[in-house]
Amino acid sequence: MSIVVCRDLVKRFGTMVAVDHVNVEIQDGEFMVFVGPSGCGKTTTLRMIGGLETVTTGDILIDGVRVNNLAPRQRDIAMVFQNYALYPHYKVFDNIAYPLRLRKTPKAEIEERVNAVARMLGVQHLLDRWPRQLSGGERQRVALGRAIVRNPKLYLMDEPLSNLDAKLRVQMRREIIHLQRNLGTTTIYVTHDQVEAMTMGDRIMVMRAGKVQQIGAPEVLYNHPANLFVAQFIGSPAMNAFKGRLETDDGKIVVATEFGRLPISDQLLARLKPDRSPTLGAREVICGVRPEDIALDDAPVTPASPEAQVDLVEGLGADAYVSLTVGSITLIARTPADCPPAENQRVTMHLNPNKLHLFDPVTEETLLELPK
Amino acid sequence: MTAVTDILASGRKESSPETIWRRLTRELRENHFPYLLLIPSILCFAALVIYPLANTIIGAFAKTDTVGRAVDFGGLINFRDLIRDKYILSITIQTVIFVFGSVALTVVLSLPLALILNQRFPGAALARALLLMPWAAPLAISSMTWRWIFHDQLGALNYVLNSLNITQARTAWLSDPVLAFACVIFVEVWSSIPFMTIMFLAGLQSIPPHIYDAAKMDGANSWHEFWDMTLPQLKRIIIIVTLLSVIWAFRSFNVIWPMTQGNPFFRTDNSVTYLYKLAFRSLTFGKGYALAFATFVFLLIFSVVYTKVLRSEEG
Repeated sequence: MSIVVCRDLVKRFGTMVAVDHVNVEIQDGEFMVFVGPSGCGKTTTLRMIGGLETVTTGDILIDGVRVNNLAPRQRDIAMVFQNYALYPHYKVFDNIAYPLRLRKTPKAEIEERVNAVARMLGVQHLLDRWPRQLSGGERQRVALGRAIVRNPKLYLMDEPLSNLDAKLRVQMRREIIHLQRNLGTTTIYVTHDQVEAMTMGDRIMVMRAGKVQQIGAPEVLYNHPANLFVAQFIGSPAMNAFKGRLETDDGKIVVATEFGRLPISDQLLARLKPDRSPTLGAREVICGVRPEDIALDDAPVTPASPEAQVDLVEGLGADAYVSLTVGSITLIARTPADCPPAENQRVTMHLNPNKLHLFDPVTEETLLELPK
Repeated sequence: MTAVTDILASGRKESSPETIWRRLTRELRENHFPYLLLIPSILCFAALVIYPLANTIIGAFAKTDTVGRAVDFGGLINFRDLIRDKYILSITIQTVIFVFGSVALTVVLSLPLALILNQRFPGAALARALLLMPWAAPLAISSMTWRWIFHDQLGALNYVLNSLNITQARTAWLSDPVLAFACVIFVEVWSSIPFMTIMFLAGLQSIPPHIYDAAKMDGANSWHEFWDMTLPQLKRIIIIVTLLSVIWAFRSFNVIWPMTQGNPFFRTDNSVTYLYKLAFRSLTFGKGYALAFATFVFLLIFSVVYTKVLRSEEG
């Protein structure tokens, strides 16, 4: 049973459309991530689900019940905020206990549940402190505690890790994943950080300018992006993209580019959408290739394996990012760090013919079939 | 630069008076310019605050002549006379009712007003500007205006009430002891609302808005939001503003004097108007000084106890 459904959800602030016909179904127990650049409408969507923003048009259903007109307190949802939103005038214990007090839970039970949650999150020694006496990570744990103490139907998390430093963020990321798996409660998590999205989400919804770009499992989004935006938003460094044209060489379709004629594997060719199959000689495309799908060596240069100049090598320990110039185009390749090319060296590029991505230059939609 | 105050503070702990003096003179020698700049304000403060205060305290314990000069040490003679004054008990009671009544009413009215003005609505800026109107005129002038409004024969209030057939008779607002007392409290409240509302508004605007979102998600309704979020967050401001208002209401002269001069029969006097009468009408300066001193001490004790109690509550 799907627990949260957004149907044609629209939010307007004056003339500005913040959320534009969002349709999504979030399954029971799922960890769903809304990701996108700032201002894409992901937080507004989340706040509408929570009941903190009114819905302009469309429906939100939780467990089959339309909740558009229900106050947040009637929806049985807990939310964790980016700035923690702890109550500064309550001590940690009372912060966590507040939702239970509002529900008139007996005192002994409050005590028991707050202590249990505090133990689970490792904040039992902080219960007598004021929020202002806590570090960022501790505050975040308390905010999580306040959310989980009352076993809600649904968790909403609005960029809960973005105020933490990098190391703590990685740690808390793992803790939230563990927590969610253990509790098994449906969670909607908003972030602008695609790494968080990829590592945490069972599924990801990518948004841009209020519109849903693609919904899918992390590996689907990574390997089969629905459009150029998703392709370049997911993955770091971003997918390389350059203009090309589908042409035929001896009956084989290739991508003719400024720097060479790149072969396409039969497998990939089979995925070209039938209605968009290239008319011979003239299909402009945007071709994308991920940095790890560019191999570099010193083999002889051919049209299929063009030559490039190495501009910059950024070592990361295990990998190295190599910036390459071919004609007017700059590409980034990811190579093992043990044998990176030298800067200013000329190398031969091999773009994996099975891993090219083809997009329409006007709509920027993919020209390939997406997996079902 | 070590400030003179620092030297004095540190002196209390360690050094002998001699070394403090040496350090002070050295500090003044080396850094005389900033202290030079302080001299004008120190002189003003001394002339306008220290001198009258000292004069009052000396006068309270002295025998005084008819122009208020201390002529001889009097001990507690002025206080004895004050306690024997036949009006002093009712004046004290009136002062307490006036102060706590007007402050309580002001708080009760200003808080909802601030909550309303904190909302976004068309004309909110205009409403906030209008709120400051009672502040725009000097209080003595407004009080005189109110005296005319309350005038039984010529006042606007009776005119309106009679015209609307709410009352038939011309009510003697400022001649009836109870009504007159209510009127001065009303004007005191009217004149105090702008300051208090603005302070509450400032307090409301400094409350982090996200705690309301969190409270809503935790299950709070509007009443919980007010009671559990707004009120505790405003507590500090309420404490400070109430304390200031109590002190100001105790010293209130500009409302009562222009409106009633304490009439009828001392029934609207507070301690300040009464001490003015003791000193400048009856020329019993000693009793006036004693009443001023007693008020001063009472306010001092009140302030200390009030802040201590409320701070200890906060933990």
